[in-house]
Amino acid sequence: MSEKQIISPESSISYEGFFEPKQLFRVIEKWLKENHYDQVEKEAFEKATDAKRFVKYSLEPFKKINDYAKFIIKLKITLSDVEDVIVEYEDNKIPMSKGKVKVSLTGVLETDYENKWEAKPVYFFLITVFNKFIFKTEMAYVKSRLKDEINSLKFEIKSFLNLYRF
Amino acid sequence: MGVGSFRVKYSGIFDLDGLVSSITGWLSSHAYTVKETKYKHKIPKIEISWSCSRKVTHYVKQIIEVKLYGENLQKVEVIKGKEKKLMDKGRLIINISADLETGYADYLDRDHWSKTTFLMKLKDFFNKWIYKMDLGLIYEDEVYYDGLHLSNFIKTKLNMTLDQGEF
Repeated sequence: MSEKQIISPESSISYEGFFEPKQLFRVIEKWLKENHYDQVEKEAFEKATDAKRFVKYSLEPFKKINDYAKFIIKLKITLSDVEDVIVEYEDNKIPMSKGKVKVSLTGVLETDYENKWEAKPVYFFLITVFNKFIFKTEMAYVKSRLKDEINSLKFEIKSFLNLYRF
Repeated sequence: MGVGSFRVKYSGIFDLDGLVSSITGWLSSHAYTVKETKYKHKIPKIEISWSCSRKVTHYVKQIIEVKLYGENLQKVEVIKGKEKKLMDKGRLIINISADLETGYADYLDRDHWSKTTFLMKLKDFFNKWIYKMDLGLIYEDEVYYDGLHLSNFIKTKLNMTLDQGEF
């Protein structure tokens, strides 16, 4: 059993207004591709009533940073009260959606994902001693990198939703 | 090595089946594997024990043990709203203990850390000097608060709490 540590606790971005759902997913996918993450879809749920839609996606993209550790970003995207509208912008009619968006992100560091270091008690003892005393700075660097990547993805989503106005 | 223990005492009317299913439901929803180790029901007494464990890592396992004792139990008819409902009346004592196990046996019951005297001493040394902070600050805290939250949950189920806080 590998060890999972929550490095960046769950934080969320909430937005209400006009947006393009497809573009939002494209922005996230593009960022994940650029940062070499493999996508894993955990849940996809969509419920459509007469005029409004509810969409829920859970993604768990991961990136192996070496043979010992990997980053996992737990992404939960919830779109609620979504309705299709047409927005007029500079004499052009643009089809868009209106509703609420909530994206929550959690950064998890999974160590010993191949269960190599737990086969024997002595191995486990050695890896813990190494992690605690010898690779301490390396592990701290790895954790800070995961935090940076979470912040970068958050920034990307916020920029797309025009949450940085000033 | 016990991490913490909690006790809930109650005397009055309650729904025993509902209480039992909500306790096991709470434990399952918190990723604990629930094992019923004892079920003794001889009116007017009942005794149920659950041993619940959660494997956090390959080395650490969190354990919550719940023991429920019921005395002077009798079925009573209660009118709730406009409906008649069959409920239980009596005295309940629920003991919850939280604990931690390190270097636990695997699914084939092989206890790797107790194979030799060297490994047993290594485990002691490891727990005392190297892994002490992780055990105390992370894993013990988690299981202690799980025990506390479970006891609060039981109190809520038994209507032993106020709708608002005391302040």
